[in-house]
Amino acid sequence: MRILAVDDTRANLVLLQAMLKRSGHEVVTAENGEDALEVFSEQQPDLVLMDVMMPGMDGFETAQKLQDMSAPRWVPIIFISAAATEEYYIKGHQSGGADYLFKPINQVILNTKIESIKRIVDMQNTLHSQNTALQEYVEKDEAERRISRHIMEHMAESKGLEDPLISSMITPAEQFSGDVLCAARSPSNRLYLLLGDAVGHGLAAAINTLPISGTFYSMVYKGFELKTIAKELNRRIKEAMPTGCFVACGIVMIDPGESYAEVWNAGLPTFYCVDSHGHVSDTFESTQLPLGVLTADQYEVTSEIIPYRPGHQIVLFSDGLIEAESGDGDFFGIERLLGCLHNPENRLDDIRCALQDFLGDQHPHDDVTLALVDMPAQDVSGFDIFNDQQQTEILTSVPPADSVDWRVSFHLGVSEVKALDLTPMILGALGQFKGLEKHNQKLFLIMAELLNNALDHGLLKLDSSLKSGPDAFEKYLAERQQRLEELGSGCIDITASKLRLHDESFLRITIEDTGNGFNYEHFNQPLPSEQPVMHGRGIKLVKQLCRVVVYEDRGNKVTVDYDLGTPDRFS
Amino acid sequence: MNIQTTTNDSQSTMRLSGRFDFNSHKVFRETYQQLLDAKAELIALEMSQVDYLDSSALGMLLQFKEKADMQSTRITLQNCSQLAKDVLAIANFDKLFEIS
Repeated sequence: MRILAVDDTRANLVLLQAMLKRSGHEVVTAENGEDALEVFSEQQPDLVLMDVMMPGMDGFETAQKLQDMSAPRWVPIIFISAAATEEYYIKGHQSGGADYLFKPINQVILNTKIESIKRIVDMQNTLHSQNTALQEYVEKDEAERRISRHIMEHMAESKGLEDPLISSMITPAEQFSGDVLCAARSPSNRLYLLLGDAVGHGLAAAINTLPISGTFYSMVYKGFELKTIAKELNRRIKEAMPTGCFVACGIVMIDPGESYAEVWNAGLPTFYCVDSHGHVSDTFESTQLPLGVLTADQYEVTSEIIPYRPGHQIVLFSDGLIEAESGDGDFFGIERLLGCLHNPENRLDDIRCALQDFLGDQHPHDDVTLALVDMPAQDVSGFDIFNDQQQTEILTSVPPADSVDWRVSFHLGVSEVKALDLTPMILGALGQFKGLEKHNQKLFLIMAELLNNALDHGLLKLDSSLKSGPDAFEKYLAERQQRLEELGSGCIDITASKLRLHDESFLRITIEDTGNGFNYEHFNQPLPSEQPVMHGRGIKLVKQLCRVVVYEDRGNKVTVDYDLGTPDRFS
Repeated sequence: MNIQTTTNDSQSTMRLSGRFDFNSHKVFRETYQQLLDAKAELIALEMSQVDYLDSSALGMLLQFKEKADMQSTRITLQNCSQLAKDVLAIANFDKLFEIS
């Protein structure tokens, strides 16, 4: 050890120095208190041997200053004194001394005391280096958390949650939320809202939710069906996450155009549909395993469909809400939640306040997420495509064109028709051609309408009058599902080409099915303006969006021309 | 959580008591691993004394099942309390496990 010896008597100092050197220590010396402070700060010794009686600053005072100087580190100091009084002994310890030695100094006792001090010094050094390491770790951890949070916040875009039909809250239990809430509109203006709750909470749970939001947004924007999205989410989670990490998940889809809602719940608490008084009209229980448990080929998605119920609201939440625990060990529970719903204007705030009152100063131990989805009496989303009236020519034969830029065609047999989500698939392929992106929404609507007609009325021979009447759409979809499963033959041919006529370019889509067609003679009628659009926007929409609509043969073949030349005013 | 194990021939019982949550991870895994290493053919989880069960417990059950399936060991969940049954039902775990 490096030891500082302080004594105003040169002879004592020499003696002490000799003894210490004999024991193998490195010695530095000082002959008074002031010197001692100076030498100490220059040499940083491990231990100080300090004579008590010195002229000027005595040993006690010097010791005190040394300790103040070195704080927060503690300097081991052994006092040396001829006076073996109780008072000195106490004062020595009070001035921050570690031990006391009495003159004449005995070499063995000196060595023993130095050894025992050395143990303390070693411990202090270990503690110090561990503390430093811990501090570095904490700082690194904080930096990484900052970055992680930034990434998560930017990956989980929340713009969709500002939709006027949604009100929501997310309260993470920790810095990161293991709950995820996203919402988006499809090209046909359906509203999709997803709630996911990953196992556990904190960073590990938040990582589990990462594959969800990206997949959800991209598939909703491309117009995939709820079931296709759910199946893909399961595949992504199962592939990315280790066994035991799963995500309870649910999606609510509202289609104001077709007047129905579709709900899927895999592992979340029951969702409720309530009327304007807060009375429950429908419940949606968890019917499936959460995401990430079964492999893609084992996972079949089943969803529930209800008719559009104007003025109703669907309430969905993660278990963190009903399992929020008060100081007395009570759970917030379903009853309390359903009791907060009588005022439809203010439900979110009412629930938030009730939860705060219930919890008092307790914090929820799990992430709390809640979303309310409106089915308003009137669609307030500002879907303005209907205003886009243009003069449509109803012709009896397909008009000529000057030249062809490109042409693609698809032939879809029975098994493809049954298995695929047709519209997003074909739009996805056409989207690879330059110049179509900005028309994506309108093209989606046109393609969806034409393909639905070809499939529903052509191949499946469903009569659209089935859609009339209350609750009819549910029945229509059920009937459609059954006929689709039973379908044994038929096919749909689709051709899309980009053409030019007099320097104007347009997209021509021809769809032909193997069904019976329909009588299109009466079709060449002006649009009835005052008649409300009840179920489906139907072919009227196509007429609004395309400059040419031609039916041919027995009505099983339709060609439309969509203008690409004029600037798109609504995108 | 506490776990008591009893074994008769090739049938073992893990008697769980207390809160089955993330803090039980180590003891739960070590216990079932021992039983699996001893080639138990059937492992019954006795659940009557479990007074809390969260989603991380469900995750642990899935890991257990994956390991057990690899060596064709059967798992049953016995005497589940109402709370445990509710949690298992919401997650539809009755499709994966024999629950009574």
